[in-house]
Amino acid sequence: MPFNLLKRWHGRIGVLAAAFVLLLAFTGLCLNHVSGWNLDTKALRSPALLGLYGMAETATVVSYPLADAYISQSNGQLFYQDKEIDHCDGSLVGALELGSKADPQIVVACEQELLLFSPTLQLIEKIGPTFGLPVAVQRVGLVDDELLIGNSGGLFLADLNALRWTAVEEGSVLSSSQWSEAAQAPESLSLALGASIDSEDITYERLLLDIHSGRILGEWGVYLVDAMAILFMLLAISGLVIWLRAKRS
Amino acid sequence: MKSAMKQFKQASILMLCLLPLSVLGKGVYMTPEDFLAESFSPAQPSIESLWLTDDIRDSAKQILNHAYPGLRIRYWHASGEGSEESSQRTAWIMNEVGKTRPITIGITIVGDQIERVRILEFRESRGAEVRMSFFTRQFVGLSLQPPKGQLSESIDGITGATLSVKAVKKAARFALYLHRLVATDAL
Repeated sequence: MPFNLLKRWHGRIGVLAAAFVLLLAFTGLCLNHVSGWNLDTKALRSPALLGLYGMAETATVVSYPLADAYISQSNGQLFYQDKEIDHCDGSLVGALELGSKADPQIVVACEQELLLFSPTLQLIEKIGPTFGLPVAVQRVGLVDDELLIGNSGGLFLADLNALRWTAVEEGSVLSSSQWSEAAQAPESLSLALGASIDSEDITYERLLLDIHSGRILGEWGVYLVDAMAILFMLLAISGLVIWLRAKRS
Repeated sequence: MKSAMKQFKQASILMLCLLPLSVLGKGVYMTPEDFLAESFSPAQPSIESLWLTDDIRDSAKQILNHAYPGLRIRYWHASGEGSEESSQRTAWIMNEVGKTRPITIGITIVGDQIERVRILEFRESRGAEVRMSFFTRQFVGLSLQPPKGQLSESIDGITGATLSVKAVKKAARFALYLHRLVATDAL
C-alpha cells in the first residue's frame, strides 16, 4: 500500500475512532472503580435511562383479590396492597388462602413457582419445578379446600406439604372449583404500583458495562463495538508502520 | 499481500469467535433431576422438609450473612446400610446470591462430609468458573470444623469470581449445618 494512502486512511480511521476511544476509556475507568464509587449498588432512577432497558415509566399492574386486600404484580415485583413482599418467576396468575381458619396459608401463584406465605406474610417457601410443580401454571383455585392448579397439561390437585401433584379430570372438579380471578385494584393502588420501579439489576455498573460492550444498543451495538475494536487494531498497526517508515527515512 | 490478507481474515474470524465467551457463563448446567439421580442412584430418595426454628434461623444468618428467605427448607434423604449417622445421605438444592443473582447449587452430604457440589444454574455474567470441577472438587470430603463451624479445609479462590466462590462456600457450610440437624434427628 502506498505510504501516503496508508497515512490518509490512518487519519480517517483515527477521526472515526476518536469518539469511541474516549467513550470506552471513560466507561472502562468507571468500571475499574465500581465498588469504590458505589456504582454497583446505585440504581438507575432516570426514566430516560430506564427506558433504554424497555422499562416503561408506568408498568402494567395485575391484581388478584385476597380477602379484603389485593396481591399485585408490577415490574416483576409482588405486592400485598402497596407493600413489596417478594419477586416471583413468571407472571402472577392467582392468589388465595389455603388451609384451616386456625392455620391459614397464603398461596401466590406465578407461572413458574408458587410462593407460600404465613398469615403475617412471612415467606414459608417457594415451590418450583424442582419440587414437581406442573408448569407453566395458568390458574389456581380451590376445590373442597384443596389447591387446584391448571396448566396446559390439565388440572392437578396439589398437596403442598407432601409435594404431591395429582392429575384430575376437569369434569370431576370444575363444578365445585373456585378459581382465583384477576380483578381491578382501586385506582390509587394501581397508580402507586405502576410507578414502582424494579431496579434490582439496573445499576450504574450494568449501564456502564452495557455501554462499554455496546449491548445498550442491542445485538447490533455489540457488532459496532467489535468493528471499533478491529479499527483500533488497524490504527495500532498502521501507526506502527508509519512510525517505522518515518524513522527509516 | 494476498497471504497477509488471508492471515488478517483468519485472525478476524478467530477474534469474532472468541468474543461471545464472556457471556457464556450464564446457563443451566445440570437439572435438579440429574443432580438427584447422580447423588442417589439407584436408590430413590424421599423428599423431606425442615422447619426453621428461631435458633436455626439465627445460625443461618451467621453462616449466610443474611436471613434465610423462608421458614421451611426441603431436602432429599436416603438412608444407607445401617442407621448410623455416618450412613445418612442428604442432598440440598440452594439458591445463594453471588453478586446480584442467585446461583443454584446442589450439595450432597454423606455422614458429615460433603460428597459432591454441583452448580446447577448460574445467572450472572461473571464468576461462572465456580461450576468447573477444579473448583467444586475442593469441597469433597470437607466437614464443619468446630467451634465456629468453618469448613475443615480452606478453599482456593478464583480471581474475578470472589463473590461466586463466597456464595458456594456459604451454601456448603449451610448444607453441612442442616445435614447435621436432620441426621441427628433421624437417628
